Parts: sequence; C-alpha cells; structure tokens
Amino acid sequence: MTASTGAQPATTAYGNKRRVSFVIRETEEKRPRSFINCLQWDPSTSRLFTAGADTIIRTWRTPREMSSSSTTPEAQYLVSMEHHTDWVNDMVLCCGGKYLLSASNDTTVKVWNATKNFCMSTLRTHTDYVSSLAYAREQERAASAGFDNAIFLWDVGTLTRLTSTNNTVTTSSLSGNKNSIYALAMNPSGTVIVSGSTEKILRVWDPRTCQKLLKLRGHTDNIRSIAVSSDGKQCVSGSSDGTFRLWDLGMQRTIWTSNLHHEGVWAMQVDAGWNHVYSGGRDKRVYRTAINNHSNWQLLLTEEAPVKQLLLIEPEQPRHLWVATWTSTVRRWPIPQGSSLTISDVDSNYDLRFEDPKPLIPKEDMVVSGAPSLRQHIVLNDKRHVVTRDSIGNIALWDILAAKKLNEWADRPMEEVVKENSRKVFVPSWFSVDVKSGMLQITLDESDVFSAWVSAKDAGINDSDNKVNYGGMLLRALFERWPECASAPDDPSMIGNPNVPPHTPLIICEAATGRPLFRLLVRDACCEAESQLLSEILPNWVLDVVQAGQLPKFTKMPFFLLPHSSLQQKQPKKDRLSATEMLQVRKVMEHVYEKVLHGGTEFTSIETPPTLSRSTNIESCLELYCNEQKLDPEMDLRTVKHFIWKQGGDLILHYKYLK
Amino acid sequence: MGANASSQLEKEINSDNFANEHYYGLVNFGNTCYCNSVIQALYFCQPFREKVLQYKQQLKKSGNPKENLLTCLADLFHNIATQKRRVGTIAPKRFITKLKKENELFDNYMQQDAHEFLNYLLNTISETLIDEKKERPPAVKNGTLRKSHPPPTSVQETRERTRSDSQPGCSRVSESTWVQDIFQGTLTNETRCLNCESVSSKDEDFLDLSVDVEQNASITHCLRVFSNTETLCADQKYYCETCCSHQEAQKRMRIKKLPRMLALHLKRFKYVDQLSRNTKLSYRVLFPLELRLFNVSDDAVNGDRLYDLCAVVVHCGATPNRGHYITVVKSHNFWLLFDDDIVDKIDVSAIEDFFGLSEGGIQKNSDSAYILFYQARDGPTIDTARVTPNHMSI
Repeated sequence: MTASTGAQPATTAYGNKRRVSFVIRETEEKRPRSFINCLQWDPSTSRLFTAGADTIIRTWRTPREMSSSSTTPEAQYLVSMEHHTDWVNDMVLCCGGKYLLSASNDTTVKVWNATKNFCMSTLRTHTDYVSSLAYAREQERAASAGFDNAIFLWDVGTLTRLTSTNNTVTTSSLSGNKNSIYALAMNPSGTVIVSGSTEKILRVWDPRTCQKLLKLRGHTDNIRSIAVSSDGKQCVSGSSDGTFRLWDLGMQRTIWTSNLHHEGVWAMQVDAGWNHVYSGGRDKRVYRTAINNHSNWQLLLTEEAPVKQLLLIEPEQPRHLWVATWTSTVRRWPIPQGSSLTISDVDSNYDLRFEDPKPLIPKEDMVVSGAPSLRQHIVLNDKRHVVTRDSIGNIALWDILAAKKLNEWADRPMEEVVKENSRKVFVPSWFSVDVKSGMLQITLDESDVFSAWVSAKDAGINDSDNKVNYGGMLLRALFERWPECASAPDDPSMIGNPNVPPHTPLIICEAATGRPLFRLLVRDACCEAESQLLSEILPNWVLDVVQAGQLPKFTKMPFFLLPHSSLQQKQPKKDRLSATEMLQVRKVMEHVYEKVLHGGTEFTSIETPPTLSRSTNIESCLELYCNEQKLDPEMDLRTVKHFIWKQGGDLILHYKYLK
Repeated sequence: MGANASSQLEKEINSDNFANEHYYGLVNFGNTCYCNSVIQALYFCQPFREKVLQYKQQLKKSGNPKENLLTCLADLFHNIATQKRRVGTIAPKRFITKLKKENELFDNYMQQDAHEFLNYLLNTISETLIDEKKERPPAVKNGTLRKSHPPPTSVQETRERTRSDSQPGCSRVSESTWVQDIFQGTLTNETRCLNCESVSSKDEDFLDLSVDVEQNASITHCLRVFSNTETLCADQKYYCETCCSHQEAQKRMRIKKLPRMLALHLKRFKYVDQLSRNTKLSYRVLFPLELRLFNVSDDAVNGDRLYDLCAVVVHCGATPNRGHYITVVKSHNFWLLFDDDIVDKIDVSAIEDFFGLSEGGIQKNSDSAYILFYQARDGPTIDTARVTPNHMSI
C-alpha cells in the first residue's frame, strides 16, 4: 500500500469537525514532565535519547569522567525534538545514529534527523495508538505496530528521502493480528519479526516475504515486551501474566518460563551474545537471568516505581543499564563486571515469596532528573482559572485566557486554593482540560467554545457593562500573529485581547478521532508555510472569529417576573420575558421600576434595558426574589438560575417594592 | 372443570405426605397471568412467604388500616395459607385492583412482562417497608420528612471504590429490608488498565440477574458469558486515573455477594432490527435442579453456595406481546404446575419441557423458562428438598 506523509496532511482525507488545543508550559521544557516510555543510545556520540508521556524527545550527553562528588552525576541536557502531540511510546535510532523513528499515541510515526534535530516527515498509516517499533540494523528496515492491529514494514532509506513534495511511500503490512499489538521485535538481519498482543499469542512472520511463519501459545495475558536473537532462532517475551518465557521458534515451543516477577513484565533486554536476559516490570525489580539456565538469576536492582523500559549500553559486554520507570526520572545502573557474573547460582535457592534477595547493584551512577507532572485539575467556577496538583504535591493556579501559570505553592491543600479562588458565579463551560502529557492542555471545541459570555467587569478588562466572549478572545489571541487575522474590530466583545506566550504549542486535530492534523507554535503563525497551512486547515468556527471578526449572538434565556406574594396583588397574566443570560439582576430591577411600577405597558423583551432617569439607588426602591431568596443586584441571570433556582423550567423572579 | 382437577389433586396430595401445604390456583382477570405466575413463584419461595405472613401478623396487631400493595399481598398469602381446603381457587381481586391503581403501566388489559412485574413488586415492597420504618419512632426530626431513596431497580445502587484508595466515608449504605436480605446480591465490576495494569472495582447491588441466552447452552454457560472479559478499545478507550489518559482496558463483572434467593431472568425478549420489533428467543437453555455459580469474584465470601431450583416462571407463546405465563414450583419434594386457576402435580422429568426449542429458536411458539428462582441450600429455612435425588442429567 502507499502512504501519504509529510508535514502536510491530505486535507480531503479527514472529517470536517476539528478542534484546537494548546499546551500551557515553559518556553523550554528541559526536564521530562512525565514518565519515559522509551530510550535509545547513540554510541558514536555518547548521546542518550529519551521520550515518553510529555510528547517531547530529548537528547542527553553522558559524561565519561565521573565527578568525585557524593551526589549522583546528572546527564547533560542537549536538545529537544518536539512535534508529537501525545505520548511517545517507542523509538529506534537508524543509520548509525543519523535518523530516529518515533511512534506515538497521536497515531503517527515520525522520522527525525537526529543530528540536526528536526522532524523530517510524518507517517499517518496507523489509525490508533502506535505502540511499538522494531528495527533490523543490517537491512535498515523498520516496522511499526499499534492498537489498530496493523504492522507496517518500512525501508528506512526511503523514509529519510521523503520531502514535502515527494511524500508517498510504499509499505507492506503483515496481516493476521486480531488484537491490539503491545510489543514488536525483529532480529538485526531482518529475517524474523515477532509481535505480541492482547490475544496472548506471539505471532511470527518472515518480513522479507511477509509470510506468516507460526504462532506461539503459552502466555495467559497481554504480551508487553519481546526480544529476538540475532540468528532468529529464539526469542524472549514478557507478559502481563507476570512471567517471561524463552521460546524456540524452530520447535515452536517454550524452552523455559520464569516466575521471578510478582507482576507484569514490561521491559526486556538481551545482551548481544544472547547470554543474559534483563527483565523489569510492574514489581519495580530488574532481574538478570541466564538464557541457558533460567535458575541462574540475580536481582540486579530495585527501582522506586514500576519499570517501563530498559536499555543496555554496550550490549557486547554490558557495562550500564538505563532504567526508565513510572516517574519522570531515568537512572543508569553500573553492571558489575568479571567474577560477580557467576556467583548467582547460590542465590537461586531463595524463595521469593518469603525472602527478598538483596539487589546486586546498590546505587545508580548517573541520572536524568525529571520534573514533576500534573496529575489532577479543577476548573474554577469562573471558567477561566484552573487549579492543578502535580506528582510531588505542588498546587498551581493557572489563567487559561492568558495561557500562563499565575502562582504556585509547595505545601497547600488543593481544596484550600480552590476555595480561596472560587467565586459564586456561573459561567458555562467553554473548554476541556487534560493532563495526559503531565502539562496542562486546553482543548476548544465548536460545540461550546463560544458559550462563555461575561461582562468586561467580571473579566477584569474594564468597568464597562460590555460583554466579552472568552472563547472568542482566546482564539484571537492564539492566532494574533497570523497575517490573516483581522485587525481588532470595533466590536466591544473583542476588546482587551489577552496575550498568549509566543512559545505556546497549538494543535489542530480531528474532533472525532483526536488525530492531529497540524502542530505549530503561536509565534510561527506568521511564517509563510504555517500561515498557508492554517488557512487550509482551520475550521470555519475559528475562521469566523479570527479572520472575519464575527462572534455568535448572545445566548438568551426566558424567565417570568411576578409580584411577590407579600404584595397581595392580584396575580397578573404571567408574562414570559427573555433576556441575555448575563443580564444583571440590577437591570431586571430597573425594568420593574420603569415599566411595571411606573409604566405598566406590556412588553416581553428587555433586550435594551431601560436606564433609570433619576440617579436613584434602585436597591432602596425594590427587591427581587428567587425561591424566597433575596437577590444580589450584581448577580447575573444565569448565576441566579444555577445557584438559586437550581431546577429545570423557566426561572421565576418575584419583585417586592419597599416603602 | 377446575373443580374436578382440584379434587384430583386433592386425592393425590392426601395420599402423599404434603404436610399442611395449600395449593390454590389464581383467577385470571384478563391477561393477569404475568401477575399470577410471579405471585405463585414468590409464594413458594419459602423465606419470602414467611416474611409476608409475618407482616400480616404484625398488621393484625398494629391494626394499620392503610392499604398498599404489600398489605394486599399479605392478605392474599394469608388467605391462601389459612384456607380450610388444601386445594382450590382464589380470586386475587384486591391485589390486582391495587396494582392497577398504583401503577398505570399495569392499568390495562394488555400482556405485561412478568420480569418487570417482579421487579416492580419487590421494589415497591422494599420502599413500603423503608417508609414504615421511618414513620415509626425515633420521631421525625424538626418536622421535615427526608425524601426516600430513589426506587431501587434491578441493579440497585452503585458504590464506587478504587482498590488503591478506598474512601470508607463515601460509600452510602443502602437501607436494607427483608427483601434485600432475601434477594439482594452484589456484583463487582473490575476494570484493569492495560497500560499501567492497575485495577479499579465498582460494586453494584442486584435483586435479580438478567442474562443473555444462547441456543443449546446451559444457564451456567450463560452466566459465564455474563462475566466474560470485555476489552475497551478503539474509540471506547477507558480513562485511566493513574495514566491520566485514555487507555485500553479489560472489564469484567463477577458476583461478589451471592444472594439467599437467586432470581435469574433469561433475556428471551429481544428487539430484532430486521423485524423492527420485539421478538422471543425460544432457544433451548438448560437449567439444573442444583446450581453452583462459577462467575464469582476471588474475594466472594460465600462463593461455593449451592442452590436448589424452587420455582420457574414459564412464558408460553411466540412473541412477547402475545402468550401466557405459567409457573412450576417445588413443594415438599413434589413439583406442581400452576396455570392461573388450574393446579396440577407434575413429574420432575417434565421440567425439561420448559428448556426451550433446540432448533430455530426465533419466533417459534414455545413454553420456555423465563425467570428461575434458586434458593441457597444454607439458607435459614431448611427445605426438605435436601434429600431430593437429582433426577435430571444436564
């Protein structure tokens, strides 16, 4: 099959409904914001590549000389590669460290120039999360697999020659998988490829012919990690069933099964000589087991969190093991050399259920320190501020309209901060929040983005009664630098546009699937290529506001106005009134004063509220009640409806004049 | 004719040792067999009958004049149990009148669903008992009446709890009456995220279990399918609190607390798109006289409970809208068939006739089991059934 690639997606292939998201973050995010899913090592330049939930691929230099200080040395941050919009699940470094392939939950596989650190092209053949990659070094072939049950084979040379004009590539796919694929591996010569899935079966193909070779049954749960021997005759597999197995592909059977781990086995590495398998998993432990005798094993280390990924450095004679866990920090552990390799037989009599063996490696020798990731969020009533809690308990307050963090506290209960910053006001929801990347991501959708009208006073812009629309304001701010953005119109609803940090990443994606169509930084909207793409990709609801400067009409709500029972008036005909939902109670009171008490003329709309001719204090003349509760004149109708009326049906207000 | 049949039964039961049991047919007031069949089944659910008759005694003492569905049922049960003759016919007129008055759904002459009626009856009784408990002292505080709980449905209440951080203060304890004591069990809904492999579980109470039916399957198989693992994937991904993102997950529903009386509703009435109407699945579904549940959770306290079949509500006919309901019950080691006002003793082997049809199950006329009542053998009321040999091979 052929696949279309490049930064530019085929616009016709996607649905019309689109969403706009942006991430609130620092200009430069040097430290991982969330856990690391994948690691790669470039021996020629001593660079480590890390990527994971925060969508960013980072490179690090590991100094050869160890400082003698007591603290663990830190790997040195080099550069970030950003283009993915969701978790990065796997990476392979190709062509001797020149190129990098990455697979992501955003359903794409990306090709990177790993020396100049930019995204060369994007492969969009998968239709669900891409979970894993496999690489045959000697053939420069790669494969990608995901939750869409599909495996695609790629010629790395072809991928790296793709350009924005020459953006089609031919791929072959391996058929037969019926379930989501969680693990994939190929031998260096590319003669065998093995996949593991929720089907609990290992499937084996010959990637040269795309012929199905065999199926291996034995695991009783999802298969999470696989490694294949270089001759393609054996493989090891780790599973959620808590075991890892050595298989003989020729005999199509399990050679041995290891029950060392208490929980799912998520990561496996085997040295180049196929002597020892290194396994890690949910139980936080990393074991080394001899391939030729699985009762010959050692507990190498115990991590502080479930182990997600392992990487052996110099696999010919492994010296170091990088371990990524369920934290944003990655550690390097020194593997004892020489004699200590063979003492393990003694340990093998331990019964793991009763006795915890002492880990062989007491301490890491290098670390990539991560930053805390956001774990929890609460949107405040004003639908403008969000309070978050991160993985180490910091509480932060964010202004969505300005796309920035306002404040942060180290030791405060989240509830306290929420309470302190909450007001009794009702504003409809107009955005959604997620923290899957460990950072705050805000998504705007056509269905509700324009529902939040507030008075300029409430928005803190000026003291006027003009109404502003949060969604409209924010969209204009996000696309301010786009040349096609109309100059600020006279419309008072557009005044006081907030400033959004120029480094803010913007993502335009399909509403139905969440698949990204385009990612750019706010400041790059002025560039020619980005500008051109924006005009092709932006949905009409964004264009209407940004390009044409239009906003939808105010949302109106109906209500009834009746004399209070204490007035003992004959109940007049119930008139159904209608007004914008942000109309202040004061305006309704003025209406009562002007029209009901002094005018008496009938009308059913107070679209333009009458002004009080005299500068009387309206509160001294009359009071307005809802559910027998006296209303604050500063409240608006939708707040009354939400907090005081608290029921379906039209709002009923009662007035009472004071003598 | 009914009288003749009755006298025939009378002779039979007199020759056998039937203790002091009464077998009364119920008069049909025009499509009220859905009601008659369920009442007969409940009458022969020993723990339920005992509680209803106790309630009647209590009524006599307190002299509560207020009529409701429970008082009408208590009067009806009392009426049957205190008849001089061992067999006969009774017209449940007051009960039916009250039912139609209380719920407009049943206020017509249309064919009704026996399962819906069972649900309605058990929930109404439970609500009545809760209300009465409240009306009695300790007196109502501050003169305000608390609103009663929303009526429990077959899956009654949901208590959510994650294994990692359970919040004991949050779980609301549902008010329990003897209806819950007899019929209520608990299902646990376990969801495991396939990425982080953490499990969250959610408990739901039930008064009866509704299971899908398959052709030529056993009820054990249907229950296993009920507890099959379902994978949430593609656009149905699960939002995992640990991963803070949508991930694939596996979900399964298992029984955590086994009820004393297990009511199994076979979902034989199904909407078929091609026919654009409700149709009946007359599939042959085998049910044993003795049942053990296999779809129980690991932490179930009474997971190995053994159940004995004690009553079966049978639907006769080809469609949900037309047909008839009859009941098969077990009483003192004998099996009886109640068809409105007609009561007959049947042989245990005749129960097989109510499994359904082994071929072409859709839209065929069949007399097939619709609701099964299984009583736990360890229940406080020890049935003489303990020594019954199991005649049927399933």
